[in-house]
Amino acid sequence: MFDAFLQGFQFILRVDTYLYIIIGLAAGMFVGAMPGLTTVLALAVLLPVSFKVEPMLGIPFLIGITKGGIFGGSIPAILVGIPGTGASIATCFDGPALTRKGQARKALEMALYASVAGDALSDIITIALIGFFATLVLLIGPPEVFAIILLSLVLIAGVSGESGLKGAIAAFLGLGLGFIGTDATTGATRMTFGLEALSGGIPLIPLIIGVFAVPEILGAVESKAPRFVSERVDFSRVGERLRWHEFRASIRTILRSTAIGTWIGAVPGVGQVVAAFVGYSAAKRASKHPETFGKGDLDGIAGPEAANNAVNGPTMVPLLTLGIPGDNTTAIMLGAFVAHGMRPGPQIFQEQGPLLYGLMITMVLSNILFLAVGYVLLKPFAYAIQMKKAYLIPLIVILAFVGTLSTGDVSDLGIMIVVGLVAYILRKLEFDLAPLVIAFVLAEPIEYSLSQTLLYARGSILHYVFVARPIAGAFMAGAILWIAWMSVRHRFKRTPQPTEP
Amino acid sequence: MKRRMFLLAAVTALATSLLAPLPAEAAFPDRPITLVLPMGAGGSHDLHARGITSILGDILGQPMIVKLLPGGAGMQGTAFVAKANPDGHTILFTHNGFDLLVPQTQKVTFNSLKDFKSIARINYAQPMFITHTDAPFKTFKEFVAYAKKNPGKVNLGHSGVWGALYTPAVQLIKETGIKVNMIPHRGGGPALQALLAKQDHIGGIFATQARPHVKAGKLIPLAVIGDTRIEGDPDFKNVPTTAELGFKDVSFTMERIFMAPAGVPADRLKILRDAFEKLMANPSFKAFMKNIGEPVQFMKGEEYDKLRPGRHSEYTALIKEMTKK
Repeated sequence: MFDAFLQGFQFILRVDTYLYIIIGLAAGMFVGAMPGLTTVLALAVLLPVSFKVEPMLGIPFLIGITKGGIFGGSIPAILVGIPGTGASIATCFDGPALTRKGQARKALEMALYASVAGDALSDIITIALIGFFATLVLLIGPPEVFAIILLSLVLIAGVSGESGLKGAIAAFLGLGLGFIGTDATTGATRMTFGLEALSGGIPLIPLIIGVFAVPEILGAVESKAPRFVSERVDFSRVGERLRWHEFRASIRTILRSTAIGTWIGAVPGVGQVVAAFVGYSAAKRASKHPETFGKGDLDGIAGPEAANNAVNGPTMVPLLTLGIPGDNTTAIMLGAFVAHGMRPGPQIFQEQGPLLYGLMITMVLSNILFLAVGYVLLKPFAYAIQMKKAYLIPLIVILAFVGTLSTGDVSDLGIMIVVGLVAYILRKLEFDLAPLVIAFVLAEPIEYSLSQTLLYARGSILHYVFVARPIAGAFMAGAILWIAWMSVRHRFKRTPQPTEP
Repeated sequence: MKRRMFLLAAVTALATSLLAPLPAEAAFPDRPITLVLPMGAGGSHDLHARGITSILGDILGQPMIVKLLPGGAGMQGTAFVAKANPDGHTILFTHNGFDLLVPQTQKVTFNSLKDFKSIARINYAQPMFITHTDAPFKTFKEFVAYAKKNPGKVNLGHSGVWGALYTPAVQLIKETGIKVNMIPHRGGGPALQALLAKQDHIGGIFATQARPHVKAGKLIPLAVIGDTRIEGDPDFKNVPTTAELGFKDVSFTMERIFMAPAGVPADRLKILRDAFEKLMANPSFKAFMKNIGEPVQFMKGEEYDKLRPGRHSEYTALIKEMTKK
């Protein structure tokens, strides 16, 4: 095995591989930065490129798109508060605030460094512990997935909102939106109000644009936008760079988020969005100055950005060791393997060991290119966004419309507009919409893993979860203990306030 | 830079192609053809589509663009094509389950038999009943006997309700009267994973997915669904079929088919059908199919259209039986 690892190095001394990675990274960042276009779509469209070239070129190319796409999404999130992809929703807490404070460049550079660091570390951990992760994949079934989501939710809860009640209402709305469509376990349609447009459920991209971009426009129209018309993102004036001591202050956050992202990446069906939220929450909880979060804290960028990229490494493990893709991204990468007659599985390390190790080493090295390409492209992206916000935001919305139309159905536009109007009203009522989005994202995996768990338990749920599945039981207990600790701590805090009824 | 321009161009082209008016008399196809897949990215249909569109585009003289419309158990994408402009520029790549079975299990806005015509069937995939090494049975007959003796004890994993792996299981339940614990998974990959993790005792898996694990000795194939063995396949040629074992009703195989809205003019339908015949002789298509490990079992659209009404009523009976209680 170590021999194959050493032989893998012969594959990495190729200039053309790195050329493909650079093209992939640039394409990924571009697609990620465009709300309405997704990384998965870009991967699917560009997959045939990998049919025509050998695996050592095609697969790094696809890896480049994935890495670049997650980072690209944070560019509009930071500059205008509209996430380019689901993975960068949590970056919207502090990104726009930093831009308003004139620290857009600091924020973008922090996002880039945190993304690269999170990705590189998780790749190295994955390669070093691939045997461990391969075993872990088979130990994590529906009850474990459910317990881990539950624990994540408990950790996220209450971090973003000011009012617990409004946050809860938003979360329940999100869950409700997530349940619209087809009931995955029985195949029946539900909560569609008889509308065919809703029979497929609400897709994530129209929801994100509706929640983040539409209220922005309506708000500008309503106030006749004196602020908007004059406001512009001037990169030359706010172009102060990230200083070393600022990065150093966030290293702990980056390491913590990398650990969180790597762990979540090993759990099937949870993914980048949740990792980013948990990374943000953990950063806020651990911070010495949690009150600055949401008002423009660089740790609030580093937390989610390191976590969402750290998901990348472990998601490759079930693909490579079992031939089972854990998400859409890896499913498309599987296509790049099988189109060359290679089917990843238990024996691929014997059959194609050097090539696989070569690919993994390339994965680690591509992070250096990630840093370089990101650094070079930050400027043109920021220049493009330097135009007046009065033009920029409508332009982004138009691009989002075109993007949605090109990948989906006309009904997606309707969904986008209705969600946008509702989001606008909720914002007027001072609702924080982050709990809505996270609950929406988690609605399906929560319901699915719970109903599977109940089917496996055959009626004896406590015995099944706490005796037959100790890992799930441990996470469940962890969630309960955390809730208990939080409520106890709350009481301690509240005692000196006699005004409480 | 080039990639970005290309993507930008692709998006613009898509946007304009959706808005452009159609000239009355024009050579067909005169603009890119949209191939709708009523499923998500990364499945076996997606992979087939990526390979086929990159070759078929050259045969037709216009590029083909894959549009993924998952949701509503395949019905959203199917309805999209049923209602698309029947000018031949929008076609569907689906399977017989989404084509004729699922529309009977929910309310849909189209008529499966009247609103579609077949362009071609390119192949079919036979699922297999597979078990892992620790299961309390080693053959298919032992499994049926065990399930009879222990009602509700066997976990049977499948890839989703009325999916390609659910339907044969339902046919088996109907024929033998056994009771099993049916566990849904989000697709074939998670179903395979649950079997490898030994959470499920038995599962329905396609040959291409199962092969590395059968070779590694982790999974044991019990029976191939249908009446023909997977011929010429060194790993699976010795696996008996359900028909051989005496389960005549367990017959559902997944046929990968290309469909057009029924309103497409006859001359245009012929151009599409002929293009697929040319595709079958194309060497890069053959090489692609060999690499992804899928067979080519071509059937002309005209012939496949003749099979559809019979299939439709067969599924009607099955659904009626299964939802009776």
